[in-house]
Amino acid sequence: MKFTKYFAAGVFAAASLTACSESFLEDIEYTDALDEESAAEAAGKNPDVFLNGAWSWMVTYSQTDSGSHDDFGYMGSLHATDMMGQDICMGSAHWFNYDYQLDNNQESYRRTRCHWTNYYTMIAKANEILSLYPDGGETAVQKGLIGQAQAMRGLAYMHLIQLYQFPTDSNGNINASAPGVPLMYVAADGKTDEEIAAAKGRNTVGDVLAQVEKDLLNAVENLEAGYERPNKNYIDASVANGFLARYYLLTSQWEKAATTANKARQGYPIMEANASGLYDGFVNLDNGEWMWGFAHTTETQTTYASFFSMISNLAPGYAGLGYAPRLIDAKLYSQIPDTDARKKWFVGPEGDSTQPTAGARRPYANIKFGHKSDWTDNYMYMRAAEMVLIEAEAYAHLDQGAKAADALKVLMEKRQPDWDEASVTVEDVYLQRRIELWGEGFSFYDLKRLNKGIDRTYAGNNHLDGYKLKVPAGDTRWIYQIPLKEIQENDLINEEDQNQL
Amino acid sequence: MVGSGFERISARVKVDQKIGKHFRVGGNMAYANTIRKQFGSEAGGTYSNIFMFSQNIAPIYPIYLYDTDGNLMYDEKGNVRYDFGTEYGRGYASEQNPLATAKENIYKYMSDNLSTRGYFEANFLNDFKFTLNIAYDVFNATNTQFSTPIGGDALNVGGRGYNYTSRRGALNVNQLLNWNRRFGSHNISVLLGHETKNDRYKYLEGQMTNFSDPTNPDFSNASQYQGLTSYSAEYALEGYFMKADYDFADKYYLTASIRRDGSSKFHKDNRWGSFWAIGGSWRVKEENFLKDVTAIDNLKLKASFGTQGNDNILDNDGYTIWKAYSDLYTVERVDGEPAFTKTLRGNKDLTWEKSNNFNVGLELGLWERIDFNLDFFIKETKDMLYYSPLASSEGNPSGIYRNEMDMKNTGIEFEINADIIKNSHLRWNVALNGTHYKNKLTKLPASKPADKYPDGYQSGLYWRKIGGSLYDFYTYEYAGVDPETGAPLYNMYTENEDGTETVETTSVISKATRRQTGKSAIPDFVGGLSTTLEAFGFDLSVQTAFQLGGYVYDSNYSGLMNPGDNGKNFHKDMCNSWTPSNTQTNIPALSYQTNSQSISNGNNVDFFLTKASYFSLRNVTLGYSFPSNWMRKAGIEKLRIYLTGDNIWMKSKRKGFDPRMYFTGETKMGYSAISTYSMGLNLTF
Repeated sequence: MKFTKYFAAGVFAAASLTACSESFLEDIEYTDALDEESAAEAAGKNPDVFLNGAWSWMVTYSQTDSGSHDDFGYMGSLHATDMMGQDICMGSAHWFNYDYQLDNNQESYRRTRCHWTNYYTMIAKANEILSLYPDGGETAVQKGLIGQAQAMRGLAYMHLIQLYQFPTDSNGNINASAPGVPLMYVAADGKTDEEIAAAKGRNTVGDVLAQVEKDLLNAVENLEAGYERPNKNYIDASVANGFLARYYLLTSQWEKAATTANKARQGYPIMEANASGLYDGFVNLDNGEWMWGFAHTTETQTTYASFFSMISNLAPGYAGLGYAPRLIDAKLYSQIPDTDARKKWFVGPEGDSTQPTAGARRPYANIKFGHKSDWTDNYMYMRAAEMVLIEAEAYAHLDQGAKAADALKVLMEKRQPDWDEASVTVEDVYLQRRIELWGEGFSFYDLKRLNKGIDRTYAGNNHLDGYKLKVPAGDTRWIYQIPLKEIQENDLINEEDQNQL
Repeated sequence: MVGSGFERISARVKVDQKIGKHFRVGGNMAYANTIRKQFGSEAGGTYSNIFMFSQNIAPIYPIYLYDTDGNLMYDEKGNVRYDFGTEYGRGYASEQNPLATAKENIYKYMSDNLSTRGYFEANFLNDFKFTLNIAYDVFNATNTQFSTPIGGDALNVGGRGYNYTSRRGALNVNQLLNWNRRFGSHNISVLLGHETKNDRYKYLEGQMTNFSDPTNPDFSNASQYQGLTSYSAEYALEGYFMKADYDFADKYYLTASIRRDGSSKFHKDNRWGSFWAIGGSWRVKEENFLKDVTAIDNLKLKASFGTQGNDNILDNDGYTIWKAYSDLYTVERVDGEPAFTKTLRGNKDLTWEKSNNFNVGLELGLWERIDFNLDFFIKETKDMLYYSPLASSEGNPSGIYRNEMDMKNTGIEFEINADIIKNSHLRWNVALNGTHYKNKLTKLPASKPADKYPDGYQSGLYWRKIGGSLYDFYTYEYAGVDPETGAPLYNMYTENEDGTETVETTSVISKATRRQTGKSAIPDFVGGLSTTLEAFGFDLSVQTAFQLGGYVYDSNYSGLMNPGDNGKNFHKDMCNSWTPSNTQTNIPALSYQTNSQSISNGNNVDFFLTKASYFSLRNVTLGYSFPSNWMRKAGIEKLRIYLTGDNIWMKSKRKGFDPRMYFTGETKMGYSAISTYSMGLNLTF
C-alpha cells in the first residue's frame, strides 16, 4: 500500500515536471534583422540587395560610431581631403577644420579611421558579392553584379593607396616597393586560405596597384557583357572605364588614360551653361553629364551630417548658416576669365547681400552647390567633364599639346565659348581641372600625383587666420598613418610598420 | 526642472485560498500606469542635456535673442525669442537652445505595467509538496518625442516628431517538488525543479516632419513622411535543478545543488550549461564548549563554493543581443529597394559566461552588543562575453562576440555593528562596513596570444595583461610646459642597447611614448560608516559612504581644458595657462585649434587621471517620537516626526567630479545624484 502511494506520487511528480520541446529554445522569433539563411534566400531572388547595401553604406552617417557630423561616408572622405588643398577656404572654423589645417592624420584620430573604415567596408561588401558566384557569372546580370563588385574594390584600393602612402615619387615614377595597405581576398579570387591570410599585411605599392588594375580590367570585361543598369546609383561599363582612366592617369600610362577616358564618356553630353545644367546646383543625378552618383531619398538623407551641409552655402547647413562657409581661393578666382560661365559659380570679392543665406553672402562664397528643401540633394561621384580633362591632361603629358587642346575644347566650348587655344600644357589643363571640379573632392589626389604642394600665404589670400599654411610636396602632412585599431588587431602590421610623421 | 514631470497610479489585488487539507491556491495582480515627461536627454554628450550644455558653453552667450543695440527681441505674439545661435553664428552648439527645447519640445512617455503571480500548492504523503508557480508581466509603453518648429534643428523641416510603441511580455513558470523529513536530530530536504522563461518583445517606430500646429505632436498633424519600422524579438530559457539540504541538531548545515540551463541566444550545440554549488555552515555557539561563554552570543562559520552562468549579452549601447550565433543583416531602403548590410558577425561557439564563487565567512556576536561579519571571497569569471575587436580592414561590423578573457576578484568584506551604549535612556550604535578586493586578469583573448604579446596589449585607454586589472590606465606622460614656448611636453622613452631607457621630452605627442601608469580604476577600499543615536525620544542617524584609492580619467575636465575650441567654455584652471608673462606654470598656452599637441582632445594624457577617493554624507535623519504614555491616551500607538536629507554633501578630488557615477574609470556627462530634503510623520494606530 505504501509502495503504491509512493509510486503514484512519483508518477504525479514526474508528469508535472514537464520538459519543453527542442523548438522552444530554437525557434525564437527575431525579426529585426535577417539571419544568414533568409539573407541568402532573398539575395537569390534579388541579387541587387547587396549592391544596394554598398551604395547605402557609402552614404551612411557615423560609419565609425562617432556620432560626429563630419563622419558621413564616401563624400565625407572626399571632402576631408579636398579641404587640405588650397582652392577651398573655410569662412570660419567648424567641422573639417582639422583637415583644413592638414592636422588630422595621426593613428589615433577619427579622420584616419573614417577613411579606412569607409573603404575597407566597401571592399568587404564587394567580397560578399564576389563570394555569391565563386566560379564567376554566366548571365549578363550575374556578370554585371560581379563587375560592379570588382569596380568598387578597385576604386577603394585606389583611394587607400593614395591616402596611406605616396604611390609616386617626385619624378612621377611609381614607388613600387614602398609599404602599402592590406589586400582582402576571398576564395572567389582563386586564393588559398594561406594566401588570403598572408595578404593582410602592408603589401607593396606595386602589389596594390597591380590588384587595382586587375580588378578594374575584370570589371570592365564583366560589365561590357551586356549589363544594363536600372539607374545611375549603379556602376556600369562607362563608370568602370572611368575608374580605369583615373588609374592610368595615376600610374602615368598616358596613352591608355586618354583612350579609356574618351571611351568612358561616350553617351554623356557636356552640360550647357544654363539653369538645368551648370547652374542646377549639382543636386540632380538626372543631369545628362553625370555618370555615377547616389540619388538620396527622405530615408537615406542625413541632413546636417551631409556633403551639402558642408559645401553648399545655399543649404541651411553648416556652410549656409554661416558656421563654416566654403569660399573659393582668391587667387584661383582671379584666374577664371570673366567670359567663363563658371565664374558665376562664385560670389565676387565684395560679397553679395542679395543671397538668401548668411554663408552665400560672404565674399568669394560658392553658389555652385545648391539645395533641395528636403535635403535629398543627390550626391555626384563621376561626370563626363572629368573624363575630358583626363584625356586632355594625358595628351599634354605626352607633349601632344595640339591633341590635348582638341580634347579640352570639348569641355571649353560649353564653358567659355571664346576659348581658342591651339596647344595646351599640363599646367593649363590642371588649371581647368581645378576650376571645373572645384569642391568635388579631387584636390588632394591631384596635388599628390602631380607632386605639388600648397601655398596659402600669398599676399591678398582669403584663407582663415591660423590656416594660412605653406606645405611643400612630399611633406608628411600629405600621408595618413595606419589607424591604431588596425595595428592593434592586425597581427601582420606592427607599430614599426607605421608611417612616420 | 522645467519640462519634466512624473505621475503614477498603481493598484494591487491579492488572494490566498486553502482548499481542503492538502491544497492551496493563490495569486496577486498589480497594475501601474506611469506618465513621464522629460526635457531631453538625461546623460551623455547630447546638447539637450542641460547639465552638459551649461558646463561646456562659453559663458558669453545669452539664452534669449537680443538685437545689435542690446534690446530683447519678441515674436508677433509678444513672447521673448530664444537665441538658437543661428543669427550671430555662435561657435558652440549651433541651432541649440536647451531651455527653449525644454519648454517647447514635447516628450511624453506612458506605460502600463501589469504583473500577475499565481501559485498552486499540493501537500501529499506528509513529506511531499508540489508547487506550480506562474509569473506573467506585461509592459506596454508609448512614447512621443517632438522637436519644436519654432527654432533649433527642426526649424527648417517644420518640426520633427517620433512615435514609438513597445510591448514586452515576460512569462516565468516553474514546477517544484519538495521532500522534507526529520529523523531525530537529522533533517533532510530535497528539491527538484524545472523552470522556463519566455520573453517576447514587439516594437514599432515612426517619424514625420512638417507639422501644422506646433503643439500637436501626432502624425495626423504632419505632412511629410520620414521613416517607419517595426520588429519582434524573443528570448527563451529552460532549466532543470536539484537541491539537497541536510542539517544536524541545528548545529551543522550542508547544502548542495546543481542546475542545467539552456538559452535561446546560443547555437543549439552550445546552448546548455551546468552549474552547481556546495556549502556548509557551523553554528559554533550551539556547541557545548561555547554554551556557557556569555561573552559570545553568536558564532557561526560558513563556507561555500558555487558556479553561476550569465547569458546577458549587450551591445555597445546597452541593448540586448537576442541571437548571437548567426550573421545578421539589416534591410535598409534605397528608393524603395532593399539594401542589405551586415550588422552582426555570428559566432556558433558562443556560450554561457561562467563565474565561480568561493566564500568563507565568520559571524560573531559579542555581549549582545557587537556584531561582526567577515567574509573572504574569490570570484572567478571565465569565458566572459566580450565584443572582441577585429582589424578594421575586415570591414564593418569590426568586432565579433566571443567568450574570451578570464578574470578573478579576490577580497574581503566586513561589517561591524556595535551598540556602544545601550540602556533604557540612551542607545548609541556605530556601524562600519567595507570591502577591499584585487582584480586580476587571468586569461587574455585568443587573438592576443602570449607569444606575440608577452607583456599584454593596449585596449583604448587601458593596458591588459595577465595579473593586471581590467582597467589599468595606459596613457602619455605629461611632463609640464616648455617655459619658452608654452607648449605642452610629454615624455619620450627610447630603449638603449644595454636594456636601460633614456627619457627626453617632446611637444609632439605622436613622438611621445604611452606607458603603463600603474594606476587602475579599481579602488583600494570602499565602505560606509554610519551611526545612530537614540535618547529621550529623539533619534539621529548619519550614514556616510567613502572610497579610498582608484583612479578615473576625468574627460569632463579634459573637455574644459581644451586649447580653445570655438565657443566652448573653460575650466577656471585655464586662467593660469602659460603666457609670456606667466611662464612658470603647469598649464599649456592657449593654442587655437591644434588637434595634435593638445593635452585634451582625447589624446589620453595622464594629466587627467584623477584619484577617485571620495567621502559622501549620504543621509542624515533627525526624528522625535512623542512619549508613548501621552499618545496612548489618544489611542495612538506611536507618533514620530522627522527631518531627513539624502545626498547632502560629497568631497572628492575636484569640485564637480563625482566618482560614484563611474566604475570603468571614464567619466560621462551624467547628472549627479540629487540632494533631497524632506519632512515626515509616522503614525501608528
